[in-house]
Amino acid sequence: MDAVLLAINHVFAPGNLIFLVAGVFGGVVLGAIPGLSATMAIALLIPFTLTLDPVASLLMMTGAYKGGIFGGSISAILMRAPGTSAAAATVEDGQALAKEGKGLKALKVSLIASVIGDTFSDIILIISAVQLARVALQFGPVEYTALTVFALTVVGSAAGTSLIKGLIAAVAGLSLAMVGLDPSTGIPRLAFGEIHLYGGVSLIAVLIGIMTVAELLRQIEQRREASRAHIPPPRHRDDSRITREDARLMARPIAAGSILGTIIGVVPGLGPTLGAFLGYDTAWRIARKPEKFGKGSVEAIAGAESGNNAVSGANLIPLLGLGIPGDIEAAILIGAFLIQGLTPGPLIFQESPDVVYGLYVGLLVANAVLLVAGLLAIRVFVRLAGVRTGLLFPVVFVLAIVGTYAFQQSLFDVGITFFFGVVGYLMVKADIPRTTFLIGFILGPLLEDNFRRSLELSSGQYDIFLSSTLGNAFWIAAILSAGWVFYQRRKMRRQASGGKQ
Amino acid sequence: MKLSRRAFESCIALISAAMPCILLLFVFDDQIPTSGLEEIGPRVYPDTLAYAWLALSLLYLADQWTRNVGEPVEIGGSAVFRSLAIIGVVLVGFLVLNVAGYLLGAVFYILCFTWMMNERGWAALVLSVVTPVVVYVALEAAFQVRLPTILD
Repeated sequence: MDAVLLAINHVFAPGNLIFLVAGVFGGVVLGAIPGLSATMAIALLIPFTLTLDPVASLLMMTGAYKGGIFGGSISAILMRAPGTSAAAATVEDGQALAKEGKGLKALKVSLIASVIGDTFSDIILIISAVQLARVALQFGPVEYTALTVFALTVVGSAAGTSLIKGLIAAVAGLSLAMVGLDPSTGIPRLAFGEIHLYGGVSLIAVLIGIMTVAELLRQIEQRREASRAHIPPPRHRDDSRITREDARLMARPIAAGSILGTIIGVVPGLGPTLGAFLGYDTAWRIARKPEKFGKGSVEAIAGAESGNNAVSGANLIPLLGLGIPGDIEAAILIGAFLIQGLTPGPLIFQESPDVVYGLYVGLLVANAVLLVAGLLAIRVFVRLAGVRTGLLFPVVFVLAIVGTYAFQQSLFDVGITFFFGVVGYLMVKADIPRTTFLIGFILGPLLEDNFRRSLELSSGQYDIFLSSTLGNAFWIAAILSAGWVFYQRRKMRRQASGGKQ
Repeated sequence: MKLSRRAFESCIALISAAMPCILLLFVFDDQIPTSGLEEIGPRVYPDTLAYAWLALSLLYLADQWTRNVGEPVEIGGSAVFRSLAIIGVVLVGFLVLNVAGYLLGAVFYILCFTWMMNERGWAALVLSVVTPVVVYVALEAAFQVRLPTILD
């Protein structure tokens, strides 16, 4: 109880609250600009949070994350250019409403659905993460090895268009994580005599390179033209507000989207895009007016946006309970924990309860801030979303360099960022998922440690990996999930080629 | 020039397969030290990963040759030139950063990238000069981090 009160005090300290609000505002603006995203926003923020205390740093980043996901729907509704892939489900109905002069209504529906979905999943996070951590404390190295492989398999299957490419990216990320001190001998390995690599490849440099620089290079290549966002004038007073009838229509899709999004968020790798599309699909099934879907349906936006946002809180359940990131945003948050000297996982509840409870309180406050900021300043966000990207992207590129340099004041790290920026850019061209690579890189030390400890327990006998019932359950789940994805993709390809013929 | 999807994906699989081969044949022997005291050899984990990487790459190659799907890939022309130009700007900019410091490096990047994104007016020029200076001053004031300049 003391830790909870301390956390509330901490979050409401004026300095911390300012960081939270700044994170939400920055996230909404960056998420709203087509080509930028919540992921880039939090990746760019990490180095600048080094000097903050852990709670303030996490508050700022979770605020940016939540704001960024909602921001994606602004450009989706008003510009037909989703700022995030998760906002793609909102495009059709949002645009249709905007054309009828109901753009502001669509944005408000999206905002309220986002906040409710997010709050629901945060509550589930608060209830369940500590329970999961209690279970995880019983895990030995064998179970953790199997769990890590399971998480990588699911992430690898869900990302990109090819299961095998996803797994290759994961193994490449795991291999990169080997650079640095050998855990068994304490001697540098794979460092090629370079002193900067003795501590391993900088996580921040790889993160900013793969996620931010690569994405900026891709946007620069596409020469994206600036899109003007504006709210078409309403024809009637009810066109720009949520009426009682709208609220009645929204209730069921939001409830369904919130539950589905939360379930999807708990499973590593599935992510907010699936949450949004499943939320949309379910909303259509239970809609009072299904005939309006695709033509400007309030129910469609409510379902998609609640499903999309409900993923974000639930994503933190495996992160805090097991130390396994559910998706790329959670992986970046792991980076934020690590640079603050904290290791996410079951022990964090005993070692740093103030940080965990601070994060919980901060998540709920961030939702409230997002709701108030969204309702009050939606027109400002819309105006900022139309900024000329040709001028903005090069500036963000320079900020990426500065962020990397500021972290350890090393030009070597800037070189690493550029290297991985180019690698990420080529990975996009080759359709190799960057997310899986990054999650592999982050989970590398955890996997190696548990793999080695398992073998030490069995004096080098590999059959120890099949000696635990729970471990075997994870292996079977990994095989089943990979098999399921393989079967589904093959089926889709057959259908596609049948359709062509 | 058009390349079939199978050929393109096979190239990716071969490049991917080459990497663990290089690690196993040329890198691990030199770069993974052993103290001779450890119970489990220090190469057990790296070797396991490298073999898994190789197996997956070969599996991907085999998968490409058992079916032929997907649109052909356009290789060459302005798209490749533009990609190479972008990578070139990144590399030259890094050289400028190292030799002439942050301010000139940042100006170079902003000028090149705004130009590549068709922003070629006064706004781009002013932005390329003002942004690096503002960031330099703000970083020093807020975080006490001094970016390297040509004077260092």
